[in-house]
Amino acid sequence: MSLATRSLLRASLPVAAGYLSLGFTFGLMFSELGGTTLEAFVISVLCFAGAAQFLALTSYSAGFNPWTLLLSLVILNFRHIFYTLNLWPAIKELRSRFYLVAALTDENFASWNLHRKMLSKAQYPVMFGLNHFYWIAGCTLGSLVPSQLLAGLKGIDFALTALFLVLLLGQLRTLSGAKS
Amino acid sequence: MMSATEKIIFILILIAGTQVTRFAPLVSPNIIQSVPPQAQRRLSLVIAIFLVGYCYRDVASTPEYLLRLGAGVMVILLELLFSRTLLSIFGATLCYMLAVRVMG
Repeated sequence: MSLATRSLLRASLPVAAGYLSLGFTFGLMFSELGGTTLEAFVISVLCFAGAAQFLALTSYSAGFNPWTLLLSLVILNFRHIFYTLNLWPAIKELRSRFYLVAALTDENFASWNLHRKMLSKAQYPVMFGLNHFYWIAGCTLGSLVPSQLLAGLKGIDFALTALFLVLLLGQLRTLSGAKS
Repeated sequence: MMSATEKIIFILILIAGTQVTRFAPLVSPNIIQSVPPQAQRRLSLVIAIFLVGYCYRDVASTPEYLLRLGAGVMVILLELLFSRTLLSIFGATLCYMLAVRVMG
């Protein structure tokens, strides 16, 4: 294993811890609502958005309103627009540019921002792909847990509220940091 | 129980609602770049407040509302004290799960 690959793996460990545990929680909650492993896998591959996936769980029932869900998702994901604006100038010549935009989560944007000086541009898709893999593994494994075990997990849905509270505190910190 | 069609629509909306915001700047970069950075930050804050409000929208109608409020305070305290996202999320969630089990 090359030094660059090793340092990339080491740099991705904090994201791995977050994505595996949060993804696992998503998978658990999704299967509790009647979602299948295949659905969890497809969503984690093609959507790949932590907060949005959790928010969508509140609509995962018969007779859901698709327009309400779509509007909520667009409002929630609005910040991604600014991530793309920042990232695009650095990746617009790469062959993997559309994948990088499609996989632009909060964590991938933060990782790119933090490590871009030590990484070559060719390593961007590797870093994004590695983090994407952690998320897919977490969501898929979580959805495989037998439903009998879920009875003891009452209240796990609070993880969603906790996630949003942490997000709110982060925004307040950013805003107060920008003012001072 | 959701029908197969509903499940497919659900997944397609989930993908579209996420990817449209990621690819929007490639379609109309000038409009979005004209938003001042300060306004961008404020907008993100409003979105975060909206999300928390969304989670607590029916809090008064559930029997565990005091526990949810308490667990929310715990998230804030843990985050302010340690600034460790996972500790804040899972520490408070674990305590909430235990409290629900003991009280229920």
